[in-house]
Amino acid sequence: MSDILLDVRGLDIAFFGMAGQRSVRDVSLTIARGETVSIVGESGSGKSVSMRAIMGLLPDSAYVSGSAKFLGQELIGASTATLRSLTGSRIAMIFQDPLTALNPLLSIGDQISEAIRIHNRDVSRREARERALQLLRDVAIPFPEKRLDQYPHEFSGGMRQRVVIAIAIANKPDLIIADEPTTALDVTVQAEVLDLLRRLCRQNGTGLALITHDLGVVAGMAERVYVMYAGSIVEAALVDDIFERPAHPYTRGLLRSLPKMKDQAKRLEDIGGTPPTAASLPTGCAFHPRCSFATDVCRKETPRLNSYGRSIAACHLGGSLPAFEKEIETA
Amino acid sequence: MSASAPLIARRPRTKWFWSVLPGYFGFTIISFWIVAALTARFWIPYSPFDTVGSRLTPPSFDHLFGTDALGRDVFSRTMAGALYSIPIAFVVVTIGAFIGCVLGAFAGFVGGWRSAVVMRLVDITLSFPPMLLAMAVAASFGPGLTTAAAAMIIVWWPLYARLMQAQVLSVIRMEHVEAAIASGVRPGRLLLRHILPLCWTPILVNATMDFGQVVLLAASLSFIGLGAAPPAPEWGAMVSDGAVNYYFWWIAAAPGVAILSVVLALNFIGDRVRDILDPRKHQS
Amino acid sequence: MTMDGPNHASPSADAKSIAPPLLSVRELIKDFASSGVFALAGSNPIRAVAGVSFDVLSGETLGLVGESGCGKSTLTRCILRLLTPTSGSVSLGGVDLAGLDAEAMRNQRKHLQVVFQDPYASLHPRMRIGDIIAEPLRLLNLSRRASDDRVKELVDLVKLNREHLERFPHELSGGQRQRVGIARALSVNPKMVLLDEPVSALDVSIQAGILNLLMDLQERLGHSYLFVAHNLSTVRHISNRVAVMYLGKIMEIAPRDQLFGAPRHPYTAALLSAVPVADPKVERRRQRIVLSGEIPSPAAPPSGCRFRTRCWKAKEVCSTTEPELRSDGASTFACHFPQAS
Repeated sequence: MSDILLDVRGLDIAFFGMAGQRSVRDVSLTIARGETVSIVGESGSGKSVSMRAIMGLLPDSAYVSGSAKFLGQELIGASTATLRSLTGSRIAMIFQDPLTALNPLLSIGDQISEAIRIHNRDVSRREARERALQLLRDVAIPFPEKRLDQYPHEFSGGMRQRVVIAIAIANKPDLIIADEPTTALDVTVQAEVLDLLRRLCRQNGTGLALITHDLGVVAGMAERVYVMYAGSIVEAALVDDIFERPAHPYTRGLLRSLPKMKDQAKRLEDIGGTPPTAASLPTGCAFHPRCSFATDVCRKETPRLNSYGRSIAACHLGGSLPAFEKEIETA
Repeated sequence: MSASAPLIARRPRTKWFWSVLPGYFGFTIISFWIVAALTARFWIPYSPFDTVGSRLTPPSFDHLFGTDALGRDVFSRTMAGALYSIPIAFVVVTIGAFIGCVLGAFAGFVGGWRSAVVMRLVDITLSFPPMLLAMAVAASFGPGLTTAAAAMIIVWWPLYARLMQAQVLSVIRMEHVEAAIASGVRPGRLLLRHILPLCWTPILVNATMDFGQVVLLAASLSFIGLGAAPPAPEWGAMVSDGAVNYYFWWIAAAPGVAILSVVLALNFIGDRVRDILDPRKHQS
Repeated sequence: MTMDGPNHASPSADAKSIAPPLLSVRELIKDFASSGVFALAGSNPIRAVAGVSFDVLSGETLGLVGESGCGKSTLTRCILRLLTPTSGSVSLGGVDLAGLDAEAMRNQRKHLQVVFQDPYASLHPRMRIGDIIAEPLRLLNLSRRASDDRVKELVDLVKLNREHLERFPHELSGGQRQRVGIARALSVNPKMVLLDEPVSALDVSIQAGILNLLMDLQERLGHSYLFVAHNLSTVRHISNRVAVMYLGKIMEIAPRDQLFGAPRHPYTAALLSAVPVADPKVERRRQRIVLSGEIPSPAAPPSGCRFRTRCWKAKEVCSTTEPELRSDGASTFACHFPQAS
């Protein structure tokens, strides 16, 4: 059991003023030690909110229920002191915008040293600075000696995100939660940052929860994938199965709607319609208004997660869907 | 659903209550004074201009807030005073904001040297202490409510010009304005239809808050004798009467509280107006 | 969508002998004064666009790709005359836009329209959808009735509901708002439509619908697109030809399949190899060209070739001589040591 880092069970989140509508409904997921798990979904699917809830980062207006155990320790409802001792040491977070994560008035070196010394009081300033230098080397920042004394505004977007990663790994956490870490970056820079993240997690045996909307990033990084739609997990599978045998019509729709690098089918297959908001959730399966396979039961009953082969999916029709034809792609 | 379901949340409802309460409170008080301004003459017990009792009697059942040095009923005078302070504040804020907004919008929209001329005029006007400038203007035109109002408009318009100019400059950089230019919208329509409708929020908030400040400045001008002429029951002038007879606290107390209540109420309303008009709260 | 093939690849003037280009950009330069309180009068301006030339032919889609800071947004704003270019010319259907006064430019705008990236910011928040779409129609001096009819027609064209006409932008979803933006752009039947990252702010499942719509509309109405984006797979899907920008200059311009199949400029090659592919098997196998360093500041571009600081092929000559755009018949590129074709 000690292999499970994070064990989330039945997470529900509602916000004040939403008339009891839950933004996140019954989310359960696990992340094992050293594993990279991707949580995919569109904006408003609840992927970020779930992870923030686990870290206690939601505003006061959020009602969170359910359980999230990190190495057996309950995080939901834990005291601020408990969360503070865990975050930054055992669990680290990386956000989309590296600039807001850094203090503009402190040098990079000071910020990394501080991250180390907060959780290890016995580390001397000098030692912390040494380790900060080593961390900058680890995240492949050129001229680390010089960079150590510079301020965030002197770094480019990609370099800042490296600094954020350096701070995240400073205390060798067991788990990194990365929320769209490369969305704000250019493709060439994104490729480097993802490579770096992958290498560091592998080296240190760190678990990585990668929240993203980019299926290309998922394909390159994840071992397992959770697909979220309208606040629920609709499919969970190994990465190869997600891309080759997607069990949920939504996953299929997402994959089909991507412009292909290779083949030029004239039209893209779009899912049609728009994702519902928590306030306008349809009855039955939340995806049924956009689903071409929807039947009466989909309109009435909310599907539960069921196993289909190695995957689990929340679809009434799971077994009876036609086989998914995958377009062969080479790059 | 898990059985162990601790809820993390404080009580947002209470917070919400405290955030709207001052607004309602302010609204109630201002409504009272507006009603007083319109109807006081029909229900006040005594004439506000005439001697109706003995001089300097303390508050009693006959004279709720006592009488002043000339034996006039302070309660009646305070209620009737609303007819001076409220309209004058309204006129000053409306005309000041209008002039300021027109010039500020012009300066923000055209830019260049024409903008510079307007804005330097604003800077010069704002570099005088407002009280001093109002005193100078009121003194040179001669005392009286009309000249006091004119003086206050001269003091007030530059604030709105500066606010409006800044507002236009920020809205003009918004993408939908760029889209309108690219669509071929003419400059006049661009300003009236695409820029100005998004500029009003801070103007309105400021105007609400300034309303109280104008009441205060009008009272101050009357206090030093540059506003309402003596028999008129203007609050500032009444406080001034009280200051002369400072052993008889009730003379100044009622008009003083009246000024305080109006200024406070308008600040509460201003805060509320800002909350309501905040576009961030309406985007989903 | 019939224009393809290498004949139209060249941005040079001899393309005119085949068909006159609809939009023709020549040696466009845009400098920004360096800002800041203490910026000195004589200090270096930031050259966001450093001499760009290309043509867009009638009915085709030219994709313009580049990373942030490459100047593609500045370029589109110069073409739209939302910014005044420092030098160079932009001509549309033979009319030089740079020489026009405000009134004459406004008249040309019925031929040149734009769809912006952010469907939230680019619509007036306090105007009804119907009025937003009708705004460019004022250029045509239509009667109220004709304008209303046209708006209804447009709403059907972009597959919105007529009920939406009375709504405000915040009542619509992102995809619906972008449809409003498209309807507004197409209302005056423009010959040229600039698409400035039209789908990058939208959810993945919505993007496909908008791309399909854009392509369907082009097929029906025959206008040209300049499609500006950073997402290569989207650009590949919609474009006939693609231009790649880096630090204010065009590095390579070629027909789509040529550019994606056999990129000649090392930067194009690196860009292509960096795109994540939605297939785990491909991702595991692939070898990336990893670029070192970051994009230099346009205030102080490197000497010679602008890409040399990040290029694995860079030699002495790259730092001394700036490569000119040259054509090998299929692609046009600016590199001393191009990739094998």
